[in-house]
Amino acid sequence: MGNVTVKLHGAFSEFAGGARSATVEATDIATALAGLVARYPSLAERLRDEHGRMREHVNIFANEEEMRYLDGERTALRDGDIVHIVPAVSGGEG
Amino acid sequence: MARSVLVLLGTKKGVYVFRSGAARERWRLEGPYFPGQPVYHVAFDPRDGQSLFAGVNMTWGGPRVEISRDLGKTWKPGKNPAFPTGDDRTFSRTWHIEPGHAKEPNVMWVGTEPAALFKSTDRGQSWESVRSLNDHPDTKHWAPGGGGLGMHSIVVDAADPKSIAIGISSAGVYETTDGGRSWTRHNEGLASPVPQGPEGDFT
Repeated sequence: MGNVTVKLHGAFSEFAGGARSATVEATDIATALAGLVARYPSLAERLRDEHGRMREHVNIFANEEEMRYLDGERTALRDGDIVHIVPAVSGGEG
Repeated sequence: MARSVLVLLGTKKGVYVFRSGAARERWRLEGPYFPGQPVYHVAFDPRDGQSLFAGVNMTWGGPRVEISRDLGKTWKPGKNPAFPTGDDRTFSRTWHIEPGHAKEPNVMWVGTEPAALFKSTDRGQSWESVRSLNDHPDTKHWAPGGGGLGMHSIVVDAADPKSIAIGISSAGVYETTDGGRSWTRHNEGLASPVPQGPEGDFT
């Protein structure tokens, strides 16, 4: 299990008391997110719905690759890796 | 006469509060709170005179109910309404927030999309599904209106805490007179996707 930095982009930090990043012990993205939510419980319902599914417009990157193109939440992490949590950005209305 | 007047606005870009004195001569604008985030409803709790509730329906972070205990100066989210494990519905928006009866100062109600009613007994900090309505046999007939399948109205009878009416688009009006244990459809004269009973609704 290595030390992983999770970076909170956009308004996600508002639900972590203003923190922009956290270091957690993790072996993969799932355990990194679990460690993050344990530290900042207000993030739990921002990341997942009541059935535990990741919200559609939340994008999670392992280093520089989006996890959907890797092994999803089972994407393995090593000591020193960085996980980015990025809200989807769209526009064109209002 | 009221000492002050608040006008609460939920918009696509947050909550705005207009505040005035009893004479309503000058208005002060406060907010936006939750800028850039769609808010379907803002409610004031007249029982404590201090609490505001906002149904914030973010796209990327999901919906939540924000609570202020100081008329909007500070806000904190409560725990989300949640459909039970095994239910194929997912809480996606808050449409209406309603304080309970004056005799039940800790009770709050929310109406959601998909259409469902949730009850709080801790002033909005947590919510329980009202299964008697949310699992009503009629639910298989409920169909989304133009804005979605939302419970947009909740009315608590000021004379009777056990009497509550709700409105769903598009399912119609349902009423309980036993505090939510059972619900009766009241769509007489209304178009409704729920099939007409032998002596029942106009569809």
